[in-house]
Amino acid sequence: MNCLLCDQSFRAEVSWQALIVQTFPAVICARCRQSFERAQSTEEVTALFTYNNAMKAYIQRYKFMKDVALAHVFRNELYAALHKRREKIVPVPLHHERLLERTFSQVHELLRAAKIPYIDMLRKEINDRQSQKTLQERKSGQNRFSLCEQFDVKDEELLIVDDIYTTGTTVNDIKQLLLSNGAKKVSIFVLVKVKSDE
Amino acid sequence: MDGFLEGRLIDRNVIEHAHTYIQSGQVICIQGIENGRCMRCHNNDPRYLFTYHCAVCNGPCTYCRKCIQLGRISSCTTLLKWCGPQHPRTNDHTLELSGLSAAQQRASDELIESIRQKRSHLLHAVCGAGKTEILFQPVLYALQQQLRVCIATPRTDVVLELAPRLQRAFPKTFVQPLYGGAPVEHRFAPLIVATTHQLLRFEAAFDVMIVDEADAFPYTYDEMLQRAVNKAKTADAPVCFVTATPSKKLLATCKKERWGYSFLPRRYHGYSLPVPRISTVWRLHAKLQKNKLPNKLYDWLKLRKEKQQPFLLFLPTIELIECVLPLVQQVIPNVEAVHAKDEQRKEKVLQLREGQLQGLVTSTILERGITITNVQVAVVCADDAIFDAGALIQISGRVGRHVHYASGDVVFFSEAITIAMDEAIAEIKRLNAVMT
Repeated sequence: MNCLLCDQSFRAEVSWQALIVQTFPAVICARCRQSFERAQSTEEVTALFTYNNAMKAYIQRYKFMKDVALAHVFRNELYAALHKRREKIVPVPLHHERLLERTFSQVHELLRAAKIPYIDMLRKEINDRQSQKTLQERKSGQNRFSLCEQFDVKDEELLIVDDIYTTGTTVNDIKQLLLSNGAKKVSIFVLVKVKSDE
Repeated sequence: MDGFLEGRLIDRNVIEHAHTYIQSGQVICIQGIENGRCMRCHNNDPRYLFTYHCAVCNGPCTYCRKCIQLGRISSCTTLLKWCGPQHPRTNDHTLELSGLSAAQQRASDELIESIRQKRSHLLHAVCGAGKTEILFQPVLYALQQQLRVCIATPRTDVVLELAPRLQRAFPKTFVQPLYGGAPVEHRFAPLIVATTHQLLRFEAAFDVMIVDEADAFPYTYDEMLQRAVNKAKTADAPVCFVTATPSKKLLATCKKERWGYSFLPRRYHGYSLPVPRISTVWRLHAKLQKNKLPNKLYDWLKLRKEKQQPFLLFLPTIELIECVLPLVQQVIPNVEAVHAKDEQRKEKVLQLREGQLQGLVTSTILERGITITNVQVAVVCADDAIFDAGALIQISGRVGRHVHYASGDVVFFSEAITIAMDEAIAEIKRLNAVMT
C-alpha cells in the first residue's frame, strides 16, 4: 500500500512481534515513522511525541487541511498507551461552531481510530482559538468548559485526552473543573507536547 | 469578477457573493464528489477517497486525498462552474520581440501552423536552444485570434522564471502566474502561466495549451496532472509539448497521431552542448557520509574558487546535501543549500545570479529552468537512481548557455557508471553531431 504521509509505496513488514504487539496494520512507511520523535512524559502530563518538524507538518495536514484519514497514523501508539488505563477517558471537545467549520473533532477521531472507548462529558462554551492568543491572554482566561448535567464524576478517576499540549491551559482548566465536581483523580494525556523552550 | 470565473471550477466557499452568481444562472453547482469520483481532479481511485462521519452532513462524507493540497473537496463541497457568457476578448496585444535565429524562427512558424490547424505539436529543443523565445510569436498569434492561452509546467520555479519574461514580452497583455500561494487578481487573464497542479481549478478553459518541460517530475509520473491538462483545455484545443528530453512514449504518440514536430539540436548561439566527463571516486558515498571530502571533489571546488566561477553541485538526497554543505563551505564559504522543501529557494537562486553566493548545493529541483551565466556543474553520486538520463541531460544543459561563456565543465562524480550516465552522454554527443 502507499504511505498516508509521503504517498510512497511500502510493504508493511510482518513479523511475529508485529503480529503479537501491533493491533492495526501500518499506514505509514518506516521512514515517515522514524521522523517522529518520542516525548518524555512528566508527572503532570503523559505525552507520546514532541512537536518536531515532522509533527508540525502532520498537524497542519490533519487539523488544518482536514485530512481526517491521518487519524489512523498513530492508532497503534495510542492503543498501546491507552487500552490498559483504568480511568474513564475524557476527550477535549471543540466548540459547536468550530466543529462545523472543521467537520470533525481531531481528538475524537484519534481515539476512534485507535478503538479507545471514551465518554463525551464536556461542552465547550466559548468559541475561541488557543493558537491565536498570546501567552498572557491564554493564562488569564476564565474556564471555557462545562460538565454536561447528566454526568456525575464524584469519586471517579479520569484521564483527559487532547491532541497538543502547549501551555497546558486547556487541560488544566478542565482538570480544575472535574476536581471541583468531586473527581478523585484527574490525569492528562496528549499526543504531542510542545517543549517549553520552543 | 465575471471574467475571473470564466473557465474555472471553484469551491463555493472561497468566492464572495456566490449566491448572486448562482441565482443569475451564470454558474452551475456541482457536488464535490459524485459517484465515487472527485469532480475537481477526476480521481476515482478508492485508495485516495476517504469516507468518515462528517459533522456538517451529520453522516458519511467522502473527500478526495489526491488534490487535497488545493483545499479539500468533499461530498458536501459545492463546486461552481462558469456557464455564463464569454468575457469580451481584446485585440490589442503587442510583442516586444528579441531577434530569433533562423532555426528558432522556423520552429516558431511551424508551431503557428499547428495552432492554425488545431493540431498538437512537439517542440523538441536542446537545453539553451531558446525555447521560450520560440513560443512568443505563436502565443501572439493565438491571442490575436482571440484564443485563451495557457502555458503549464510541472515546476513552480519555471513559472517564476517564465511569467516575468512573458509579461515583458507582452506589455499590453495581462499575464497571470498561478502557483501555490501566488497572489491572484480577480479578473480575466487571456494568458495564464500555471503549474500543472493549478490547472485542476479549470475546466474547458483554454483554446491553446502549452506544456513546458513536459517530461519533468511530477507530471510524467502523476496521472492526475495529465488529466488536469486535458480537463483544463477545450475539447479541440491543441496541446504543444515543449521539452529537451522527450520520453519514448511522447515521441511515439507524436508520430502516431501526426502532430507537428520541430527539432532544434543546436543552441541559439550555435555552439555545441558541453559533454559531461565522468570522474570515478572510490567509496564516494561512504566518504561523504563520514564527512570527508574526496580529493577529486576538493580539487574541483578549489579550481572554481581560483577562477571565481559560479557553480551548482547536484546531490541525490536531502540527507547528503546536509552532509556535504559544511564540507563545501570549508573550501568556499559563500555557498548555500537548496532543496524542494526550502522556503528561501527563490532568494538563494537570486543571490547566486547576482554573485552574492558563489555556489549552491542542490537536489534535482534546480535541474531545469534556471540560467546562470558561466555556471559550472558537478553531479555528485551521479550513479544514484534519481539521476535518470533525462535529468542528467537537463543538468548538463545548465552549462554554457551564454554566448560569451558557451562552454564549461560538467562532471559526474560517481562510484560506478550507470546506463543512465552512458545514455545521457551518448544523447548529448548525438545531438552535437546532428548537422555538423
